[in-house]
Amino acid sequence: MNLSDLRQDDLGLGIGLRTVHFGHILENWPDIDWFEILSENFMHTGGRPMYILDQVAERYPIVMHGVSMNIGSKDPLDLEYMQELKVLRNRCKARFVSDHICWTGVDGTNLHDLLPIPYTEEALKVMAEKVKQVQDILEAPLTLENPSTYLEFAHSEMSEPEFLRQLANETGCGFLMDVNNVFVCASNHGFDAKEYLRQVPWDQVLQFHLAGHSTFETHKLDTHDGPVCDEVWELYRLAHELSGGRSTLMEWDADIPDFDAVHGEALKAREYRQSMSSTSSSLEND
Amino acid sequence: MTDPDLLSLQRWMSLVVQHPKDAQAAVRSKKAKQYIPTGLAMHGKVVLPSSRMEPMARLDVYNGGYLSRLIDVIRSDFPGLIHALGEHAFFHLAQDYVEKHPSQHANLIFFAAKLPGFIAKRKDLPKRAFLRDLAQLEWFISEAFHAPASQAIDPASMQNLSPEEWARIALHCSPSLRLLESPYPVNGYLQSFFDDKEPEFPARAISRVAIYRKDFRVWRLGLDKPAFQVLSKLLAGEAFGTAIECAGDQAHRIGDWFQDWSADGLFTGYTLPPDSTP
Repeated sequence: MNLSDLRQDDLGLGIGLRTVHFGHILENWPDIDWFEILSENFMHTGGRPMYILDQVAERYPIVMHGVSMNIGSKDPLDLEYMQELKVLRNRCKARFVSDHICWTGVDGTNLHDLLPIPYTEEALKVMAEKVKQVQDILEAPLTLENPSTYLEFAHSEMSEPEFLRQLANETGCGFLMDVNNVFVCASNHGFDAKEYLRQVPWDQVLQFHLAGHSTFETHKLDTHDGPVCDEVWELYRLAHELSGGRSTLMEWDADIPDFDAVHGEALKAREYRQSMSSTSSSLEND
Repeated sequence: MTDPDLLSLQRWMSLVVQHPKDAQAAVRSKKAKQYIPTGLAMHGKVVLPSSRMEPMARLDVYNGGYLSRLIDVIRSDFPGLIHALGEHAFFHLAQDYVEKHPSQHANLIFFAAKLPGFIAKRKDLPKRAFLRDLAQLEWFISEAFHAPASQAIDPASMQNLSPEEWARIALHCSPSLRLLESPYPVNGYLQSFFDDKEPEFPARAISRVAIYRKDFRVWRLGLDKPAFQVLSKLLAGEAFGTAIECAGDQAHRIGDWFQDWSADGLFTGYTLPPDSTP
């Protein structure tokens, strides 16, 4: 499977497969295009979560999203983790495997947080080598998400979109564009979110994430605990236009409401996707 | 000074994230100074200020999340222990545990594995033997929940075994099965807690319990001494004939035990070693 094949594979609108919704999903088999799983929630476990996943994977496309690949760390790649990840990918026949442009620990310690990397040539080289290694193991492109960050390093040598562009050139990897993260970072770091999106290497983008965040006096935090705000929807409209449309996921990971509420929030994206489709059609007809 | 290399930066930030107080205390620490001088860190030469936050405040976003996240992981696995200790003592125990046992695994489900042993070494805790065993019981519940799936043995598959073969077989136990013997009634205590009965520290009374998963639920089965000893031997892989010798004058109950334990999925198969009798 190469990146251009995956790029054509617009799965539609998905939501995260979360424990609190297991019962509802098994009883109703809701009308949703696909589910995303948090990879680590289904690794090293053999109980009910796997039983549920096996059934869901028979009926819906699955996408895997991880938080522990530690791709930006100076530590070597955790090969045991990668093997587990690949076993899970094969078991649920996941369409994409993604993680984050970040590091999560060093010297063997896992800090269980998506920590920011400096956008330097050194970090680019470290990450590119590990991305290539991951892709050799998975025998498929890795997809990496732009993270929410709460600081910037003084010695960064390039912008995040430029880092993405160079990483893609080096590795051929894909990207998962989290539109909420762009908004959060733009607010925290004082850049123009729309300009950021215009600089993204869209040919490499396979998927969108949408989510809610929390606003504090001094910064915004990516909390996934509420609906998507109007500004993020407008950024999604632009991202959708710039990309031509990609699989889109609604993330809701804290204070999770019932399935229909999350699904309803995801379905709002349909308006933006359809308005884009109609715009494209009218342009083609013209 | 030249810009920090990636390894130095990550080691420095790892210290900042893990520091029990805050970012400023972390960057002033001797360990952090090995990687980045305090002055550079304090004055925006490593982390840029934003329009609303100074560098230390920006680092504190990461510092604040680390401890609370890992304590929440422990909290979710040990509700009975929290009740027994009280919120204040639990928080300090968990904080110390996070500091002494940083997570080494990509998956958080393993993070609290060493907590029972950690409690056992804490001389400041009252009734620490009870607390250790209560924590062990709750940890076994977590392990049973995540254990690999298995298929229970079909007793019909054993119908044709001769008595001599029965004596030689080694039963394969469910990967979820755990056994716990304690000088305290930890299982009763935990059940009382789950039943909202606000249990107090119990008096000493030996208890034995099997923890296992069946139908995606984790069960706790109280056992008397002979049953516990037989099941312990079987779990250790001893031959059926050797294991049942532990039953002593309760040998007449072995048929019932085997039937009940098989029905609960505690056995998944067996190995019949070759007969070594001359």
